[in-house]
Formats: sequence, C-alpha cells, structure tokens
Amino acid sequence: MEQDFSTCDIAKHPLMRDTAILPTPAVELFVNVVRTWLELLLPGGIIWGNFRTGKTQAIRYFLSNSHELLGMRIPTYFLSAWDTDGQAVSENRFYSEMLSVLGYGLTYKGTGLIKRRRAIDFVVDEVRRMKEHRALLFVDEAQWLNQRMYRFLMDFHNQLKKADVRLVVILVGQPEILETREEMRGLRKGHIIGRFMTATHQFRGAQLADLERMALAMDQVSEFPVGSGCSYTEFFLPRAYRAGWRLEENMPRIWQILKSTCSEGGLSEISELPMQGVSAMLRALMREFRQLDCCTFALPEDVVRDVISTVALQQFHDHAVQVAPRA
Amino acid sequence: MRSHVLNAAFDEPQKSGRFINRPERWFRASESLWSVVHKWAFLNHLSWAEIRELVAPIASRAKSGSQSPWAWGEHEVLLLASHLNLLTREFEFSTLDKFLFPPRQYRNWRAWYAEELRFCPECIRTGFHSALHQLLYLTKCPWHGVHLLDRCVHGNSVDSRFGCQQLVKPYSCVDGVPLWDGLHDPEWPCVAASARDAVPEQLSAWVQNISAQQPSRNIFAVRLNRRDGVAKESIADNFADSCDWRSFEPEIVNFLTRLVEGPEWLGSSRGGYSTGEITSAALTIDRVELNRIEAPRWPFRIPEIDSVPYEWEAYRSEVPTTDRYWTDLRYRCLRTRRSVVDSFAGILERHRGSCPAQWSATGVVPGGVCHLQYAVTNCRILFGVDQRRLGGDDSDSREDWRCLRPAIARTLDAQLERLLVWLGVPWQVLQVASTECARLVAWLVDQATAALVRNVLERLLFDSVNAQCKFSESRSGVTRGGAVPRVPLMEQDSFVGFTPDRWASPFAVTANPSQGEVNFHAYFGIPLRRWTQLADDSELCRETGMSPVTPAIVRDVLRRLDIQDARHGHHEHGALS
Repeated sequence: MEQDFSTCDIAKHPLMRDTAILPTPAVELFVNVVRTWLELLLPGGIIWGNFRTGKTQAIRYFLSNSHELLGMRIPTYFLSAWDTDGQAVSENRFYSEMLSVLGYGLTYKGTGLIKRRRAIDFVVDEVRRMKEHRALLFVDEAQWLNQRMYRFLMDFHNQLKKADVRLVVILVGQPEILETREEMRGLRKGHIIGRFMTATHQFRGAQLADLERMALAMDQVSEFPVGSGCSYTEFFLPRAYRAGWRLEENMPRIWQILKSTCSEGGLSEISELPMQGVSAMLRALMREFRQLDCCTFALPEDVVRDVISTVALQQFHDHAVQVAPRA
Repeated sequence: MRSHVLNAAFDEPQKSGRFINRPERWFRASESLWSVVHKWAFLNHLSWAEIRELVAPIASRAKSGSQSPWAWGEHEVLLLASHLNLLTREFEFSTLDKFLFPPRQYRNWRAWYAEELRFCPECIRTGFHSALHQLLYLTKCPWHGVHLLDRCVHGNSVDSRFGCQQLVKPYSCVDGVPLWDGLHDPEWPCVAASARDAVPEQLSAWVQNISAQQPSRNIFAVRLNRRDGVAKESIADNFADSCDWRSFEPEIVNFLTRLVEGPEWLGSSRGGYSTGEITSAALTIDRVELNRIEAPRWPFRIPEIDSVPYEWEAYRSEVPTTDRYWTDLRYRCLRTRRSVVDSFAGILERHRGSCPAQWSATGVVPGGVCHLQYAVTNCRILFGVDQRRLGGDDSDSREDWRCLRPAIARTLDAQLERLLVWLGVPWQVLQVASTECARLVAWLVDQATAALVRNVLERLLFDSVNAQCKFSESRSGVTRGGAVPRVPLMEQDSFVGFTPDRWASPFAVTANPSQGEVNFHAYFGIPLRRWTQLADDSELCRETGMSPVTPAIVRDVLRRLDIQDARHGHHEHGALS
C-alpha cells in the first residue's frame, strides 16, 4: 500500500534539520581506526582533518552507535576542548567540564579535588557496571588543549589506570594538532606524546565515492518517518522513486556538474569537499527536486547547477583556499 | 523495516545527570533513608550542602542546621529516587511513616522514634539499616532477633540526622570509624534479588493489613470514657482511635507480638509468640495452629459472662484474638505476679530506707503495705514523674512526655513490668505500655497510684476485718472457691459507679492478722491464690524485720489513714480485738 507523505512537515525531516549523519567512507574509516586503537589498547591517538569535513559528526555518529559499531558496551565520552585564550585552566574548571561530559548529576559544586575524585570514581563505576576494563574519551577541537589540560588528562588517565581502567583518549582536531605534537616532541614531552599521540589518522572530506555512498544511503537504508519504510529519496520524490528514479544513479552526473561549476568558479581541482557544503548541497537539491516530482522526473541539470553555485560553491571555494597553504 | 542508521544521531537520547550508584549491590527496597543517603554521600563525595541542594525543596534550601531523615517528605524522597535512578515505591519503607501506624495519629508522634541511630549489628554488617530499627518500642531486630544497638564500638551514639558534621564521614560514627566494615571495599556484596524482595514483601503484608483495619475504641477509651472530668484532649483519649487488635488476623497479631517483643510472659509461649525473630515462614501461622495451643490449667473457674463485673467484661472485649490466646496471656500474667511476690522479700530489704516516712512505721502486713510502699516509692524513682509537672494542661503534659520518654523507655524493664503487674495495672495496659506507650503508663501510674494505694489499703483493712469469718471457714476445713465472700469493692454493684479514683488492684488481699496469713483474690471475688507460704513462713518477717500483723497495728493504720467505712456497720476498731 502506497503511503502519502506529501502532508508531512518537511522541516522536521532529519536532512532539513541537519541531524542526519550520512555514512561516508571517511566515517567508516574513522570508526575502523577507533576500533583498532581500542582493541590494541593504545592509550591515545590523533585524528586530524580540515575544518568542516565532518569530524564532529563522525564522533556523534560513533557515540550514538557505539554499541553496534564495537559489538560491546564501552563507556564512551565526548569532551569538547575550549580555547583558553591564554588563560590558565583551573583543576576545578577542567573537572567541571569533565563531569558534565560524563553526565554526572552535580557538575558545579565542590572543590577541584572533590570533582576530580567524583570524575574518576564515576568512570570506574560505569566501567565496572558494564563489566569492561576500557573507557573511550573523544576530545574534540583538541588543537586547543594546552599543557595544563594535558597534565589533568594525564592525571585522569593515571588514576583510572590505578583502578584497572584503561582510558583510550582520541584527540580529534584540525591540522594544528600535528604542530602541537611536533612542538612537544621538541620540548621533550614524551610522557604526553606517549600517552595521547601514539598514532595518527587523517579524516578526509567528501569525494565522488563519498557522494555515491551517501546517495545510496538516501535511496535505500534511510527512513523517515521512522517505521514508515520510506527512504529519504522516496520522501522527497515519491512519484519519481516509484517510477524507478534513484539518486545514486544520477550522482556521477551531479559530480560532473559540480566539477564544471567549480572550474567555472575558479576552482580548477577538487581534492576533497567539506561535508557541511555537501550536506547543504544535498539538502537544497532535494528541496528543489520535491517541487519537480513526477513520474517522468529526470535530473534537471540547470537546477543542479544553480543550487551548487548558490549554496555550495562559496563554501567549496573557501575550503580550497584555506586548505591549500597547509597542503 | 529499514535501517535506522541515518537517523541514529537524530534519535540520540539526552543524557540526564547520573550519580555513582550501585543499587544492585546495596539497595534493598526497605533500606532506611539514613542508609541510602549516607551511601550516596560516600560514593559521590557529597557534602550535606550538596545533598540538600539536590534533594530539598527550594524553600528549605536556605535553612541551616541538621535535618532528620525521618522528617523527610514525599518531595525529598521523590528527588532522591530520581537522582538514584530508583523508583519512588522502592522507598516505601525507607521512612517511618509506614511503621508509625498507630502513633502517627497523635500529635507527638515524633517522640516515638529515636533521633540517634539504632541499628542491628547483623544488618549493619551487610550494609543494611532499616527505618524499623529507629522505633523506640522495638528492642530487637525483627530479622535477626538480636538486640538493637544505639552506640558505636566507642560507646558513642550516632546522630541519625543529616548535617554537615554527620556527613563528613558517611556511614561512620563520630570517631570516623565506619559502622559497616565493608564500606571501603571496591566491590560491595551483591544482594540477591530474592533477599531484596523478601523484606518489603514481609513488611508490606502486615502494614497493609493493619492499615486496612478500622480504628475502634480500646481499653483506654473504654476506661477513661467512664471517668468524670477528663479533658477530651488527654493523651489517653488519643488512643481511642488506635486499631482494634481483635480484628487482626492471627498471623498479624503474631507478627506484632514478635515485633514488639512482647511482655516477658509471652516469651515461652508454645505458639511461637515473641521469639524475637521474623521469618517469612512464621507469618504463615494460621488459626488452626493457634487453636492447637493447649489451654493453661486455670487456677480458678471462668465466671459466667453475666455475672462478671465491668472490668472482666473489658478484658473479654479487648483481648487481641481468641479466648485461648487470652487465657494463655492471662495465665502467664498471674504466674508472673506470684514470682514478683516471691521476690519481694529481698527487694524490700534493699529498699527499706527509701519508703516514705508516713508509711515507714506501718509494717502492717508482710507482702501488703510494705510492698505498696516499695511500689510507690520506686514508681516515682523509676519514672521520675513529678505530680505537679503532669498536672497541668495538655500542652505541658506533652512536653513532659517528650522529656521523660528516653528515661522511661530505658527504665521500663522487666522489673518495672513485674512491679506494674503487682500494682494491678491491667495487663492490656501493661502490654501496650511495654510495646507502644511507656509514657502513657507513666502517666497512668502517676495518676492512679495515689488512689490505688488508698483503695488497696482500704480493702486490705476491710479484709483484715472480714478475715475472721474467712479464716474461721479455713480452720473448719471449708474449701475455698465460690463460697468465699466477695470483697466489697469488687461486687458488681460497686462497678456501676466505677471510676479510676476507685480503680484498684485486681488483687484483693485478705489477711489473718493473728496467724500472719495473706490471701489474694481476683476482682470477681474468687480466690486466686493462697500464698500461705508468705505469711505462714515467718522467714519473711525475719528478713524484713517486721512483726506479724496485730490488731493494734491495724488500728494504728486505720487511725493514721482516717478510714471510716460506713458500709460495714460491724467495722469497729474494737471488733478486731
């Protein structure tokens, strides 16, 4: 029986709310790397990538699906580092953030010492409750971690180790974190490098293969409304979808249009695309396609070109400009 | 249905704040609030200020000082449960509300539990404490049958209130030593699910049964409604609303008896009463088993219901369950009286110096007046009751009870129970006293002792006068029993105007002054026991240093007491000579 979702509020769609995480090869690679480090019990590693390439989204995806992805329950936490702007970070502030990250019920009360103890005991308690011996901590924007924060992290790591809990710290950040590592190497801070920077992995932005994979997911493995059995593509283009139109099959053509539009806009070569721009492009495309939905729907190239140039081109351009010097 | 992979982030649950908690390792659904909060504080390094902020209502957060866990309301419990990820109903027996089913109806119900921590050493060894242990009328742990402690190993009491000082070292005494040895263990012992469930099931079974009973009058209401000039707001009147024990199921009565440990004479009951232990199996005692209890051998015949005086009727109507149950209790009560009398000789010797001056010269009847001297004196001493303090209005009285409660609770021991029995305080009163309301008995005794002494003495002297005929019968070999003339005060007609002022001992004492023989009678005039060994044996007289009763002594007492008996025309001083 065919369902009619034309009356559904499009604004509630995960794609429109930017809450859908599209599984790209980059995300899968990210997951595999984390799994490997966890299995090898590496105390920590660096995952770096250019800005807006979807690192944070990948972490969120991992956190949401850690049980399925790892095949076991491991306490997983997500700390977002903050720019101290040269200010000293107190133990109290650090552990307040840590308690908040851990999901502790009381984050703002007590001395730094008490909060430290609470954070350690809390992780130990969670690990034991899950009958595990490992805990995973993602530190996003890790390029902002300063020496003091590293020291607190080290202490946290050591205390947990004393309680037979292995904390695996994944530092996720922009390429500056590599500079931090080199700097520490120069300063002979081997104790920090040896704990949190034992391995590195680059998180890349989207390419054609990524777009195709995303399109496949939108055609087949996505679903909205939940339980309806309706994929994203079917939601936006119900008639065309029933007539056999698929986004994945049209993605090479969209990629060509994207490349030509970019070259016209001054971007001669595309090494990787920022995920934010790609998401915006897909969002805008599906919204425009929805207006044109019919049984004989065919990819409207002029519409695609317009969407790319108005929504994504600027972001692609900015990304290419800022990434180029680093490269 | 398709995969939700793409929606995973969209459906990401919002984490609410959580605390370090090991419910499967320590929490039992009947654990007291004190225990729960102390463990929570220990695991999470929480101070009292933090706990208060988390749990207390906004309005009371600013209040400083300690808080009693037993005064916590629903709001606090609700918040505590939410912080601990537990259900509110799991705290059903964590407070005292459920256990204070009769006293909760009284305005001074807070005086029924201890502020200092009382705990069972066996329970605390497993990291468990129940609110039940805080009840002052409970002396033994219902689960283990061992005496409850209110002191740590250093001999100090542990304040059960929550406060900054009390929570510096949670679950510890003032010296910082944990009450529970396993507190600092990294792994607390798992509590089996069956053990977790058993306790609340037991508790809820009888609490619900009791709660379902309709309040009715009780012995106090019966007694005091007949009393003229009693203020409606008196303490005893409050008992009019307490539960009617007759309507309880036998197993509930059994459980209650165990719970409150019961009077001493219940200890050896074959029915399993008051063994001091609660087991789930014990709760299954049914009526059949109860009926199997062999009736004791009666020292006297049970009179016809129509001929019994009011007091007897009250006994009959206020007994907890069956006649057999009642008779069992009654028999033991009487037996205890005998042992009391037997033991008085030595006690008298030790307390001779403490008798009031006005009685000291009246070594009238061994086992009679001097015993009353002892009783009165020692009641005062034991209770510490000052007549003036208790004679004011009700508010003053309540304050007095509050002050007296700890002292009375401590001193209401077996000796005092025996003393009260001997004084003639009905066993119902005594039972309630030892179980529910020590203070009330203090009050009753204080109020009634003067009248009691007067009446008993009066009867004693009357009986001394009447003794001639009784002992003439005795000499002639006539068997005592229903043929013995009733004591005047105990005749049914006399009970029409019965008031506490004339409330007397259930004993009627007759004496043979010339031969030093003392006889005791029950209210209804049937000889209860003839303790001839007391008077016949002059050993008591030697021990007490008193002379046997002589007519001269009786006359002296009559003169001193200024007792004139208009009802008995033959009562003349000279008649004794």
